[in-house]
Amino acid sequence: MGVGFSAKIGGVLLFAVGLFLFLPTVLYLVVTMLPTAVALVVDRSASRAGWLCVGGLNFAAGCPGLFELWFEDGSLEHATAMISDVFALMMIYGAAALGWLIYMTTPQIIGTFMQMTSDRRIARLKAQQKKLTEDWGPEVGHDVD
Amino acid sequence: MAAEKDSVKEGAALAGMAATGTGPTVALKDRFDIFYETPLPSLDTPNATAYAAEDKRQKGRALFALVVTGKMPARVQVMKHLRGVRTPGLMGLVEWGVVEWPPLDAVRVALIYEQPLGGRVMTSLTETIRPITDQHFVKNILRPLCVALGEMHNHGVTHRAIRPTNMYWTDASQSRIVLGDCTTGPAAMDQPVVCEPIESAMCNPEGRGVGGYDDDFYALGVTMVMLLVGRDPTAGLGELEIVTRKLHHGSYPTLASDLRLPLNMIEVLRGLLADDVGQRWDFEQADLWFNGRRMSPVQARPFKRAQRAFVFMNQEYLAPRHLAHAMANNWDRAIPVVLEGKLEIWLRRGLEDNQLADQVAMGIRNATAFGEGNTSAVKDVALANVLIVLDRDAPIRYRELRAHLDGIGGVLSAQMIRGKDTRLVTDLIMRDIPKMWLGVREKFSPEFVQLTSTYKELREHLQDGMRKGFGLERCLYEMNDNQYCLSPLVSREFVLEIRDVLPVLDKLAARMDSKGNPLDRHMTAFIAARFPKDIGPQLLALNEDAPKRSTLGMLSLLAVLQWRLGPEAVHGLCGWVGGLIGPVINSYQSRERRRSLEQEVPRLVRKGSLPELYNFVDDADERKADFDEFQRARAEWAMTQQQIHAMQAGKVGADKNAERNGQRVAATGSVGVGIVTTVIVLMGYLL
Repeated sequence: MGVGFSAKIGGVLLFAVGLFLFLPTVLYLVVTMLPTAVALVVDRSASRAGWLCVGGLNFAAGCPGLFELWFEDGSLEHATAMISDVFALMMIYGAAALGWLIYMTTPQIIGTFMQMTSDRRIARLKAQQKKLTEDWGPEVGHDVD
Repeated sequence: MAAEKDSVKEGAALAGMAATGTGPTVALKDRFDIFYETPLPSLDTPNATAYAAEDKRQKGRALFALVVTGKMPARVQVMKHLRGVRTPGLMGLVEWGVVEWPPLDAVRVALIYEQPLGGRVMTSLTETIRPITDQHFVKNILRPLCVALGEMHNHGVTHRAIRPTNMYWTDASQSRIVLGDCTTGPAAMDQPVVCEPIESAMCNPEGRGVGGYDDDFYALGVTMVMLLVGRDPTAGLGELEIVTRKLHHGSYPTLASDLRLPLNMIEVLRGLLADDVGQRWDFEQADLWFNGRRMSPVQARPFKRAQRAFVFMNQEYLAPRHLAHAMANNWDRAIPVVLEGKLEIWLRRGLEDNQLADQVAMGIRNATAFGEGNTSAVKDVALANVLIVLDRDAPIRYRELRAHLDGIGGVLSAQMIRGKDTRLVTDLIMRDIPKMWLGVREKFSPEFVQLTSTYKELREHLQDGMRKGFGLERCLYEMNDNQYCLSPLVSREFVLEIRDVLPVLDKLAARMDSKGNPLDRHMTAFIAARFPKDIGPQLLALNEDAPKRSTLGMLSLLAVLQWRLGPEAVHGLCGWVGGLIGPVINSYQSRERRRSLEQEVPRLVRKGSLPELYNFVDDADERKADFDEFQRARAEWAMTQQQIHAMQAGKVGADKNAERNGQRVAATGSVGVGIVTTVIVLMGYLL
């Protein structure tokens, strides 16, 4: 409990220092990575990996703006202008939405694939049994559960 | 007897001339032609029909054929002995064998005899003929007949059909007499009661058994009396009355005391008609007499009489034997008398024979051991035992059944052939009455030991009655050496010996329903009784409930027969059996092996070898291989089934994994895209 509490205090202090030292960057990330934070909060899936999936694409869409802020104009005004650009925000949030969509659909695709493999295996085993029955009669399977 | 009666006219017509046949013929042993459309009723016997016959090698020889058309078994063993025997007093049996008999569309036994030319001596016992007063009676008639009996006895066979109606004048001048056929029916079955000794006369006709030489000489004595006086001295008397008179007065007094017989004949007739077997003349004594030795006439031995009479049905009896005879003929009334103990008291006090009384008590006690809760059975057995004790020489008497020990088989045979009730015979054997009869013999004989063991086996066969190869049918063939097989399958054939079985079945195969089993109850019992080797395992398999085992048992039994006795090939039977071995082939588990067997069977069938067929379908190595491979296949099937179960049971878990894996894959991919994009953008700024 002590460690968790210290980490939280450390996080808050780090955020306060970061806010003071890198305000444009922090502001940009807070606004653009909002879908990832939401995903982290609302995700109730078994793997709890929704935020990673959303966050990966969310960050991929937001990183050009971040590097522009770092390498070209790191002013607060520029940061404010970027987060006010609706088109850019729609791109970033759209990427996050795509991440969520991928997160929702991939398990179903994987599940369908795995089931297909299993059915084929069972069919092959049953065919093997049928061959045995043809060769030895139904008695070959008597008294076998 | 009826045939004999009907034959008088033809007999007269035939006298003096040999019958010549016309029309189609059947050949016996490629030598003798039998004219089956030329019957000779004057020469018929009760169980056989006479036809004209001809010797192809010796035309003009006076012959006739007797064809066994009746159902009673012929004495084939006696035929074997008498074939070719030439003696003046015996109708010569020239040849015998089996022939295809067109009138019945069946195979029958046929005998070729030298034809007597003077006709039958008496056509019926009610007839009166001219008494034979020939001064050479002894030389021309009696002596040849005695010599004929002596000759038969040298061959170890009895005649048992000596009666005036079965004697023929050999020539037209009627100077010599021959004994007629004795082989076409069971021994003594057609003998009139008057011609039989007391003990044999008490029997049912079928139960007289083969008898002994003394029975033949007795019958000869009776016949001589009839020829000398020209009639039956007991004509008009019932059979029971004849037996009773003989029993009470003796045979000679009953038959001859009131007759005017030549004085020189009295001694020989007394000797031949002696009721005591020990005193009765045989060939040696008769021969001595023929050669001039004269002895004092045989006198009947006095029997033991009681001090006071036993009253049964208002008749007084002084001798146990007479009382036993009366009781046997009044069965139901005798039972209470015996069971109440009056008889035992009379034996102790009236007859003063404690040993006999003890035996009677023992007989009653023994009966209770076989009661099986059935009181009427106990009573019947008790009375049968008591009658055996009271008259040791009499036949076994059990209700209506009266038979000597060697005649019980004859009774069984007759009852089965006639389709009548055999219960009395079954009861008699099952209740061990023969053991009682053997137990009261005064003198030991090794034959009794054998009989005891035989009847023990017969009881076991009856106890196993439900199984093929046992039961009443087995008893029938065990007790009757001359009994042909009564199986309905071979009703048109003649199966007398074990060697006949396979050839006849092979012949039948062409016209039989191929789905029928060649081994029915009669056929199996016949084989079991006649086959000299142990076939217990085959019978055991044959009686299994499982079709595979029973079919294999059937095939195995037939294969053993062919292996031991031949013939080399039985193609028809092989085909028949080959069509029935489906269950054996199906007993192999491997379908491939079955197909291979089915393809191979026709080739073996064409070879006609049952042993090869058996060895092929029941090959031990193949069986073992089939079993081992089947076990492996079962194990494989079970393992596969387990895998299927495991996969089906694991589906729910597989779905959960799929979700988790899918989410991880999506997250990994997304993070990967993020990193790659970051690196690319970063490199755009740095480079």
